[in-house]
Formats: sequence, structure tokens, C-alpha cells
Amino acid sequence: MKIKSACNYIFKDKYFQNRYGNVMLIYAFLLALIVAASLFDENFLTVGNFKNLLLTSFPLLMVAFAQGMIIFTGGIDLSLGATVALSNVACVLLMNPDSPVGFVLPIFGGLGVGLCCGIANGVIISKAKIPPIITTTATTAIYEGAALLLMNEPGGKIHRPFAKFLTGDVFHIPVALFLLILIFLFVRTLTNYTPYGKALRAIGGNESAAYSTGVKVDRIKIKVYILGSLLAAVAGIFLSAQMFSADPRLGKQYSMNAVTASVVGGILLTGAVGDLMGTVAGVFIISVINNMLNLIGVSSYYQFVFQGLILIVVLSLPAIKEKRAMN
Amino acid sequence: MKKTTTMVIALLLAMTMVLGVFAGCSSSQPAADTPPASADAPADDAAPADDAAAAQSETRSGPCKEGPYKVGMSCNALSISFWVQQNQEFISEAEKLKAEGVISEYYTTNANHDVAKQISDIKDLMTKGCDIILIDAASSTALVPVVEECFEKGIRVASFDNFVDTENQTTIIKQDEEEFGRLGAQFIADAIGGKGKICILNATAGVTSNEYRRKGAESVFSQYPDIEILAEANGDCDYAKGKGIVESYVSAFEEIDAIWSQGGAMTQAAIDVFNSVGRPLVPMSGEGNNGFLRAWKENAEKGFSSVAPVISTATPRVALNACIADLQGTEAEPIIQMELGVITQENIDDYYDPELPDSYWCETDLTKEELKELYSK
Repeated sequence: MKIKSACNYIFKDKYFQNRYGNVMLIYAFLLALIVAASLFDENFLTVGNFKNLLLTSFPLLMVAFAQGMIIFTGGIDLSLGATVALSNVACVLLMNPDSPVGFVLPIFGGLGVGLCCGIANGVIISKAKIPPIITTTATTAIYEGAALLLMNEPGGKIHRPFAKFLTGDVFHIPVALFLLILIFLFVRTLTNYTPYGKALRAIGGNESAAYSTGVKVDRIKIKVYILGSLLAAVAGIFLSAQMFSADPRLGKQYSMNAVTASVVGGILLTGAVGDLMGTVAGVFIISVINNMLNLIGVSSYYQFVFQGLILIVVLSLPAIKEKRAMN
Repeated sequence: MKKTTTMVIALLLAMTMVLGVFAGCSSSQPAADTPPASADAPADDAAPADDAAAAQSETRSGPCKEGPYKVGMSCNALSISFWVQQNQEFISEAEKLKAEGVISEYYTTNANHDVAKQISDIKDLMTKGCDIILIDAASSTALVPVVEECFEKGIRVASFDNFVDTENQTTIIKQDEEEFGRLGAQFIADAIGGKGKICILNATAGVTSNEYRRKGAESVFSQYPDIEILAEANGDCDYAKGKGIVESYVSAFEEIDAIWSQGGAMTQAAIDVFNSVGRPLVPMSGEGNNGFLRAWKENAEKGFSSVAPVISTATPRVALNACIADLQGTEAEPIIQMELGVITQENIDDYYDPELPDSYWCETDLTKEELKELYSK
């Protein structure tokens, strides 16, 4: 009874509903999706399948966190996918498979590439005042071109023990899960509970008002693009471990998929509003839909139609909820 | 909250029902629909049952197994007609083998050029319990770990078209992409007498077949120091992109003696651009698709000449039958080299089909009826 009354207290609390209502709705949808998938295919609810889901979702989670933070400022970064590819290529090119510590320099190399990409995006957007969508479309071409210049076809070698560690388990728990929890706690704390996070949302809400209240808009925007690109670099490094190689054409889908995951996760494209906790559900909804349609055996010609339809359903849930609340 | 939860459940139930209908419409069929397992009903090219019994119980790829088998095909994309026709070849062969009881179920997945999705697709096919997985890869290297994982588990894996670059798979179906490049380049070199200014239309940057074709062409052009390459660009084997590139070529260069191209649609675009600006047609290399062959035939009177290497879309059939034979005990060759067809002025009528659309690919094992049905969709 105590638990029930505690739950009632939490879930019926107006503050809780306002703050987490949409996120709870998205998680409820994810849960329902998992139940539906497991009813259709017995292979869905297996540890192996969930591990596969985690490993294949990890790079998109990183890019989606990055995109989510940038969207908080009212911006967008379409070059995140190209940054993933460029850091993936840089990481593999620097790799020394024969040295026991041959993976250290590539990690810093990959992150260094992310840092440079972020600085370039941030400085152009905040100092030259060129809209983010135009800047990052242009830098996408530059980063993709640079990746192809460095490596004109897929290849390279990776430090195998490093790759196996990153994609393997520790105490039967995937290393990727530890990494995900650490990074998630960092970015969510940063965006929800720090003055920096409040400033991000203030810029997204009204940039001029934020500036007039003393928020250092340019500096904060540069930092968020740097942080975003660093997260994209983490995705690139992880992918090199997952693929044992690099591919200069790798990242094309990530930027837009990350926007989709952010929106599905409840982040408003107009800026300021949202929670990265919803983004996690957004990414897993996309991954589970794909996984479920494959396992059910829906023809590949229908799969994208279904993905679109399911996404429309989940995107319309908050609107339906609001309409009901108004009524 | 309660109302919202009810709403979510209702939506999910509706979705589940619709999914159920479409799952029924999909390519996979339950095993119960198929005849019982029969070692007496192998595929045409698969090892006969008696041979299988006499053959080894384990091959390089793992232990042998009696059918019927579950088969999955992971497509890189279905965005161009070549891949759609290739996928149809798989479906056609799988349907035939299913009717014979060799296959119980088959699935196709479409990664839409997304490497991460293709890795996930292949893992899903593993989870489904596929005995055979066929792959047209979005990346020749990125899929190596997942292919090796399948191979270690005894799943027969074969790749083709854009193949996966590892020995740890049952077989690779190859068509000589370097020869593709050499054939076109040699034709150009001969047609312009080993001397002149040429432009190049490449396929997609970063794709292995693009690099092999370009390498093959370079091995020929490097022997002719008087051939000058004016410009080269990636047209992604796309008519519209190719047209834009050739329009910029004809504006920039007054003299173009030949065009070496990696894709039929791009060459077709080049012919159209030359005609539209009133320039005399120059020798151009092409590829065996119907649209380009039509343009070739229509412009033959104007003295247009070409050569078109032709890649077969039947590779999934070869891959599937090799994997089935391997499961039945007849070890598959690690590399199966398929012969590259060559279309010239002399044999163009053997390949060109005026009843089929421009998007049809001329080297195929699909019947005319199957092709008409495919292209009428």
C-alpha cells in the first residue's frame, strides 16, 4: 500500500507530470513496442538480442546526445555524421595493431579530429553568424571530403584486444553499457542541473534575451558544438572497434537519424525544451522498430513504410496528450 | 496518465494487427507451408542427395546439415534497379528451392546504405536462426567482424557485388571489376588511336568496385602517355548526376576526344548532353543496362561506338546454391569467379530488349515474364 501511495504521489504530482510526462509516455511506448515484438518473435526477448541492440545503438546514442544538446540552443549540426566518419578514419589510420598500447594515440587522434570539427563549426556559427544548418551542410562536405582524402576506400587495421574489450563484456555486462551510463550521466547532469545547461536552454528559448541577461552566448555555443563533435568522435572510435576497420562513407545516416531520435525523444526542434533521458528512448525505439521488423520478417520493401508510420504514431502521442489535457 | 497508457496500448494493439497482416505478406513463409524436409529435392546446382551422403560431414565452413534451410539476404540498398533486379533473382531462386523443399523460409533486409543498420540486420538474421546468409555489403571492411562471427557459428555466409573482404566466409562471388575498367579503357585507347583528351565519369567515391574499375582503367591509360585526362568526377552511376557533370565538361573543354565511364546511365546522360549541345558524338565506354543500349542503338547511325562490360544480377543465385551445396557436404570454392559479359556492336542485339524499360540490366537469369512483372510494379 505504501508503494502504491508513493507511486500515486509521484505520478499524480503536477510538477512531475509537467516535467517528465512526455518522457514517461515515450518510455511507455518503448515498453509496449518491446512487448509487441516479444509476442511476435520468441528470439526478441533474449540477452543476445538485447546486447546486439545495445552495441548497434551505441554510436547513434552518442550522436543523438550531441544533436540533442545542440538542438537545445536552437541550432542543428548536420555534420555530426561526417565527423563520425572522419574520426573513424583518423582513429584507424593512427592505429598500431602490433604495439600493446597502439590504441592510445588513435583514441586521442579521433577525439582531436572531433575537437577540430567542433571548433570550426562553433566559431563559424557564433562568430560569422552563419545559420547552423548552412554552416554544417558546408562543413559536412569538407569533413566527408577529408575522410575520402585520407582513405579512398574502406580498410585499415585495428588493435584487436582494444576492439574486443570495447565491444565485449566485463563481469558479463557489456563495456558499452558502462560507457553509455557514464556518458549519459555526464551529459544529462550538464544539460539539466548546471548553469551551463540552463544557459543552453536560455539561448534556445530566446538568444537575444539570454544575451541581454549576461549569458555569454558565443562561448556557450562554441562549447556545445565542440562537445557535440567530441561525442561524434566517440561514436567514430567505437565504430572502428565494432568494424575492425574504417569506412570514409560511414556516417551519412547518423546526422538525420540523430535528429529523428531527438524529436522522438521529446526534444523540440525550436530549442530549449526536452530531456536527454527521452533521447535514449528515442534511439531505442528506432533500433527496436528495425530489429522487430526484421525478426517478424516484414518484407524489406515495407520496412521503411512501417518505420515511418510507427514514428508518426510516437511523435503524435504528446500532441494527443496535450489535446486531451486541454479538453 | 491512466488514459494515456490506455491510449498507447490501444495504438500498439492496432499496430500489432497491421504488422501481423504485413508479416503475412512478406517474403518469409512458415515452415508448415512447405513440403517436409527432403534430401532428395536439392537445388539444380546444389549437390545431389547421394553425393551429399557420400561427401564429407563437415566443410571448411562448419558441420553439414540436412535441410530445409532458413536463408537470409542482407541487401546494401534497393535504391537502384540493379539491386532491385539482383534481389528479385534471390527471391526467384528462393521460391524455386522452397517449392522443392530445400528451403523452409527466406528473408530479405534492406540497409539503405547504412553500415550500422546492415550490421544490425545481419545480427537479426543470425537471431532468426538462418543457416545461410547472403550479403551485398554496404562496406567491404565494416562487415568483416559480423561475417566472421557468423562463420565461426557455422552459418554459411556468401557475399557478392560489393563483397566482404575476409576469407572467413563460405564463398565470395566475384565479377572482375578491374577487367571491367580495363575493357572500357582499352576500347577508348584503340578508338582514339592512343592519343587524345578524355574525361572520366566515376561511380561512387569510397566504394570498392569504383576503386577496382578505376585501377583497371589506369593500368591501360598509363601505357598511353599521349592520352590526357582532362577531368574526372563521381557521378554515382546516376543519370541526373552524370548529366550535370558532362554539362560542365562540355562547357569547360572545347575538345573532348572520348569519355570513359563506369556506369551505363552516366554514359546515356553523356550522349544526351553531346546531342543537346550539337557536338559530334565521341567514343564512350558504357555498361550493360537497357537504357544505355537503347541510346547506343539510336545513335549508331551517327557513328557512335562503344563497349559495355556487363555485370550479372544473378550472383545471389550462385551464392545461394553454393551455400546449400556446402551445407549438404560439397565444399564451396572460397572464390567463385563469374565471367564478365562484354557487349559490342556485333552482339548488342543479343542483350538489348526493346520491350523492357531503360532500367533493366541485361545479364540475368530471370525469365521474360518475371522481368515484365518486376518492371511493371
